[in-house]
This record gives sequence, structure tokens and C-alpha cells, in this order.
Amino acid sequence: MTVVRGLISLLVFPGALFALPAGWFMMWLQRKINARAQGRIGPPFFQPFFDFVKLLAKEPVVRPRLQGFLMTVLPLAAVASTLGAIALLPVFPKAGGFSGDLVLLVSLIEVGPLCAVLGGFVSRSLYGGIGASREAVLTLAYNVPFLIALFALVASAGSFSLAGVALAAAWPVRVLALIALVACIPVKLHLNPFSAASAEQEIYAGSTTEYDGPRLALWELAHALEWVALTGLVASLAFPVADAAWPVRVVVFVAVSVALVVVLSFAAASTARLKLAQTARWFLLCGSGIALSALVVAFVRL
Amino acid sequence: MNILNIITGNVARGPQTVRFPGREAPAAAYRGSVTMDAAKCLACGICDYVCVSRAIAVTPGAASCEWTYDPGRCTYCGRCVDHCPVAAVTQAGDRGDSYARSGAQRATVTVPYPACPQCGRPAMPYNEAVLGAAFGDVSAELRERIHLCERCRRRATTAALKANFGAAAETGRSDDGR
Amino acid sequence: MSPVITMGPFHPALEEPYKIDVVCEGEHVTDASIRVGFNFRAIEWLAERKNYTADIALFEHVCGICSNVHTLCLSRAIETLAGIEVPERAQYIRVVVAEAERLHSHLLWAGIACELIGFETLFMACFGLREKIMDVLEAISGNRVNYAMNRPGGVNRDIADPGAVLAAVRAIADATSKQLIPVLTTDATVRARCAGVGVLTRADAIAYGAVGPTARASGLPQDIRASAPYEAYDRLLFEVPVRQEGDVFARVVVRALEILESCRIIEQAIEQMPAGPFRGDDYPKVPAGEVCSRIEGPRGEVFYYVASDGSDTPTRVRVRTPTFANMPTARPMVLGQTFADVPLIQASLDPCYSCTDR
Repeated sequence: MTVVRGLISLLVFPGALFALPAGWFMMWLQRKINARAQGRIGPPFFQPFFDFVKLLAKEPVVRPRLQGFLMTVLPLAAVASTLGAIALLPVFPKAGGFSGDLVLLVSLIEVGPLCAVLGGFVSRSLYGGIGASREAVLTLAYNVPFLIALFALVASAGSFSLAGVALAAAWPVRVLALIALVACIPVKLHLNPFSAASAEQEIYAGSTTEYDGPRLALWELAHALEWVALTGLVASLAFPVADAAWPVRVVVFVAVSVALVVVLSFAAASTARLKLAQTARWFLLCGSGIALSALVVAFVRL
Repeated sequence: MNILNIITGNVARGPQTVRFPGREAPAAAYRGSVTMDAAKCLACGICDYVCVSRAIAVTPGAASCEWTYDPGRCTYCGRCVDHCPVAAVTQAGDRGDSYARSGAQRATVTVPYPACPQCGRPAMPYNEAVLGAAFGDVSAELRERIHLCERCRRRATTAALKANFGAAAETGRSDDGR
Repeated sequence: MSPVITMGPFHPALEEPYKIDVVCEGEHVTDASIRVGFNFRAIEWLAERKNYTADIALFEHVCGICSNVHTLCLSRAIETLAGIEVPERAQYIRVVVAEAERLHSHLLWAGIACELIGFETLFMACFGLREKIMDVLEAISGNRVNYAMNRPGGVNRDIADPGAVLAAVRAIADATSKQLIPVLTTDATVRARCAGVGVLTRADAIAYGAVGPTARASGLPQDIRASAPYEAYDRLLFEVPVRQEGDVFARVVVRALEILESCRIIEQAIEQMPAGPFRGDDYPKVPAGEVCSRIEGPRGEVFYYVASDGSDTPTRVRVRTPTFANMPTARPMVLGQTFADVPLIQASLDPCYSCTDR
């Protein structure tokens, strides 16, 4: 039974069958909102899907065997781990198994950026290298508030299970922690103002500069899945509806995720890109400050 | 939070861009591709002279003049239109078609020379106003002769010269101008 | 070992092909050099083989942004050489077109600066405003980029609808002062990227011979329109914005204020414009001699030298563009800054290397 449930959550909901279209939809929504905020028409609805299919159909550049292998495996690992993280999201709390294990979920989410760092260095492009080193610095910087905020939630709820956290965390702690978590999302998704890792005016596409065709399509896929995973993580923490029937839970989960996309898109449209040092400083001071205050509140209430 | 004013304004107004392949109509004064009216042309070659990119070439022949125009070379600066003494050159008010090969849109207009009123052979077209602009006051005699072909003009000049010799011209010989 | 990061000749941050070699220690710039010449079109050589009328059309193509500046400067050189008086109406029309061009050039620059700091919304706002002035220029001249307005002794076309020009200019002045300038000067992320970045001290600006808005942002009150007025500028009231800071933010502010001043100049010029002829002779006779001519382009002082032997073709035309003077100042600006600042700093000069290469 657990295996079946696990497979369903990996492959159907909130896994591949849901997450892929949802990721493309979120990417489209972000681009559309960005376009409307700028007074443009914006891309058609199926554009992210078209992009993916077009990239898949392209003939890959011939590379040295090891490099080609790594450049295929790394984005694949990013896709697989992000998909795994999505499958762990506790849309249905009390599901049992590994579902909602916070430690496993966070480590799976972290595999994606790690693969991007490695992928940038493996591609042996100068710009890819700079993008990778920026990605690495930013990963270190935002993980401080990210982990502190999660730890505050865990401390408040007294549980390492996402479902437990979602149900039991005290609201003052939760609000502060969620603010810190939401602030970390733009870094992972390369959105303004924290998009230094893929600043196209400086370093083209950052770590994916040298990727092409199907390999780039895999990165795009991982990117789309990251949208679902990160907004889903916040959504499942923000509005747990434990007592409702499962369709209500699904609707709330999707609605909160989409609302989060809208908020992030408008925030991205209304800011310039901060520099690497400025971004890192922001996360180490402001972001960590918010997260630490969540932690303090959590311990005071204990 | 001034940027939010801009964003809310943009969202409220809706998109300002046009979906491809739609495009805004050009302004009324738009300088498009060049056309030439052979009926007005004097084959003076001024358009060729002022053309910076050699898009216009004027090649005079024996009985007609070839006026060639290549939109692919044209910079649409409009100098040919400004300088044409008889307003034979005009510019279209819209954008031309795109083209794939260099010279694909080259067009040639043949300007036939009018017949000489005396002998009927082709004569270079002239225009009094232009002649006046180029040489100042034009005498009545010159005005008569500008419509003649080169041969008849030379003959008329010879006849006038001989007339100055008075009786010397009255030899009864038939005068063929030689 | 310090890696050399090459930006260009084709790079998202560059509007035209040129190349910046940046030597970096981590993210910090320790040295930089610019290589130009990718856009060499031998325009000066061609000019010695074409007549004056064709030359004016030729020099229109020196620059894709400030085409009018070049034809105006060359026309003024020919007029000085031939001793031609320009009709008063033509002088005002020239001022209107020159200032409209400055508007569109500055708005384009502001848009690109926003794009380089990743602020696409503001980029679209700037280009939306620029579109208004482009429409005005197209309505006046019949083209968006190469206006073909100037000829020795006057202008080729009259301004048929001054009311439309006034309306557009007022809309731009309004939007600039109410929307653009508040965002550019108060937005936290813009300030974080621009303030204190790429400082060019007053001493450096003098030593390197900076011109135009770059010099004015470093405290040098230098503007040909004010110091050696040409055309109708001596009859128009305007101020020369000067800032002392010398950083990218100061250059943003100077250009933003110049947008407002240009709007003021156009409004006055349209109101003062007298009736009368606006064209000169079709074919001026240019005697033998040589002459220098300089005017204030959107990027700074444009200098032309023309030598004539009395024929219909110049024997030498020499162009010195403002970017040629401003280019070397990029090095003191980027030294010690981070790599992320380099695109913005080099763009803050408003460089036009196509002009420089000719």
C-alpha cells in the first residue's frame, strides 16, 4: 500500500503528471505577469512547453565522452531529485512513509542547485564557471536563513515531519519563518532581485551557458519542477487543511502555489538585479534576521 | 514605491505592443521606396549625382535613357526627391517588401527621348525652367532650340553663323549643314 | 592567476560589436581594456570620393542613434566654408530636431542602463516614452532613424504640425518628471546598483578629456550649446545640469535632467519659430579652404574638420566623436569595482563605438 501511494505521489500527484504541466504553467504565468507589468503582450500559453519540445528536438553538440556524460547526468539528477522532493510534499497529511520528511525534502531540494554548480564547472565555459561560483556563493548565503527558518518551524512544532510542522507550528513563528522562506525562493528560481547567478547582461545564462538542445531542455525541466517544489513547500506549510476532504486540500495547495507565483512575479518585475555581494549580504543580515527572530519566538514559546 | 505606479498603470492600460505580424502604419510623411515618372523625366541625372549609395543609376543611350533603381541599396534619404528639378522622382508612403537576394527588386524605367520637331530623330528632353535655373536668362533663340536634336541644333547654329555673313550665304547652294 | 574575462565583440550587455577584456580577481576588477574597430566602414575615405550633397547623406550613417548630429555638424562646416546664411526658420527647425534626437538618445540610454541592471520594467517604460519622440521624428522627417533633415543652407523639410510636436514633448516631460525620475532616483535596487559605482573624479575627467554628460556628471559645466551657441541656441533659455559625484548615479541624474531641459528647449523653439523660407540653395559653391565645426551631440562634443579644394568633393573630412574622448575614462571607472558593475559602468558613458570606428 505504501509503495503504491509512494508511486502515485511520485508519478501522478503531486509528482510528474501534475508537476510538469504545473511547472510549465507557473513559468508561463511568471513570464505573462512580467510582460503585463511591462505593458507587453507576453508569450502564448503553451510557450514553455514549445520551448521544451524544441530544445529536445535539437541535435546535441558533440562533446568529449566524459564531459558529455556529466553534462547529461547532472541535469538528470537535478530533475530526479526535484521530482522526488515534490513527491514528498505533504499535500495529504498523515500519509505515512517518508512523505513529508523535512530533512529528506530539504536535501533533495538542495541537489538541484548543487548539480547546477557542478554543471557550470563541468561545461568548462568561462561564463559557466562564473555562474557556477555565483550559484555556490548564493546557495551558501540563502541556506542560512532557509535552514534557520525551517529549524524554527521544527522547534515550534516539535516534529521533523512536514505534516507535523504544518499542523502544529505556532502562527507567529510560522509567519516569520514563511517570510524568510519566501525570500529565499527568488534565488533558487533566478528571479529579480536575487538573480545574480544567471545575470544575462554579465555572464549570459550563468552555469547553463554551454548547454544546448536536450541537455538544456533537462535544465529547463528541472527549473520548471523547482517552481512547483518551492511554491509547494511554502503552500503546504502555509495553509494546512487537515480536516477537509482531499479535493479541498488539492485546490488549496494549487491556489496558494499560484498566488505565490503571482507575488514573486510582481516582486521580480518591480526590482533591479542586486549584485552578488549585495545579495549575499542581504541574506546574511536581513534574511537571517527574520529567520532568527522566528527561532527566538519559537524558543520563547517553548 | 513609484515603480508600483508604473506597473499598475501598465496592467490597467493593457499591453502596448502589437502582435506579430501586425505593425503600426507609417507616418504620412514616410520616406519609402523611390518611383520615377518617365513622362516628366529630363534625363538630367541629378538623382544619380546626389545618390549616396548608388541605388539610382542614370545611363543615357542614343534614343532613350535607362533609369535604374535598386531598393536594396537605397538608404531612403530622399535627396533624389528633394533635388529633382521637375518632381519626376517621388517616394512611396509605405514600407517596401522584404527581399532575399541582392538586386532582386531592381527596377528599370526607360525614358524615351521626344522626337526632334525638325527631323524626327530622338532629342534629349529639356525643360525651360530647368534651363533657366542652370544658365540664368535664356534668350528667345536658345529657347527655340532646346527642343531640337543635337544634329539639328548644330545645323541651326551653323545656319545662324552663316546668316551673319549676310550675302555670302546666298550662294544658291543647297545647305545640308556641312 | 587572474582570469581575463572577455566581453564581446558579441555580448548581451553590448549594443554594438566591441570588446572589453576584464581582468578579475574573483569578482573584483584589477584591469580592463577596450578594443574597438569592429565597425570600421571607411566613411572618411568614402567622403573624399563623393560630392557634398551625397556626403551629408553618407555621414548620416556614421551613427545609428545620433544621425542628425553628424549631418548638422557637416552642414555647418560647409556653410561656414561657403559663407552661407541659414534662414531663421531653418535654425529653429534644426534645434527642434537636434533636441528631439537628444531626447530619444537619452531615453534609449536610460532604458539600456535599466536593462543592464536587470530592471526590465523600467527599460520598457523608457522605451515606451522614446517611442513617442520617435513617432514625432518620423512625422517630421519621414524616418525613425535617419532623418535627412539637414542640407547646406537650411533643412529639407518643414515642421508641418508643430502642435503634435508640442503635445508629445509635454507628455514626455510630464512622464519623465512624474514617473521616470522618481523611480530612478529613489528605487532602492536602482540606487544599490548605481550610487557610488564607477566614480570618475573631476581631476580624472579633466585629465582624460571627458566630454558631454560624462564630464557634466563629474562636475565640469561643459556644453557647446551654452559656451559657443550655434543655430538658435543663443535665443533659447536652458540650464546645463551638473553633478559633482561622478558616479553612475550622477550620470543617470544628469541625463534625466537633460531630458527635461530638451523638452523646455523644444517648447520654446516651437513657440518662437518665425515664418519664412527654410531651404537654402540646392547646390552651394564651396570655395577652397578648411574649416572646423563643433556642436553638442547627445553624448558630448562632436567635432568635424572639412578641407576643400574648390571642387564639389571635399579633400578631407575628419570626424571626432564624443565617444572617442570618453572611451579612455572607462578604465579608471572600472578599476576596483566588481565584475557585475562592468556592463553598467561602460554603458554609463553612453558609448557609441560605431561612431568612433566610422
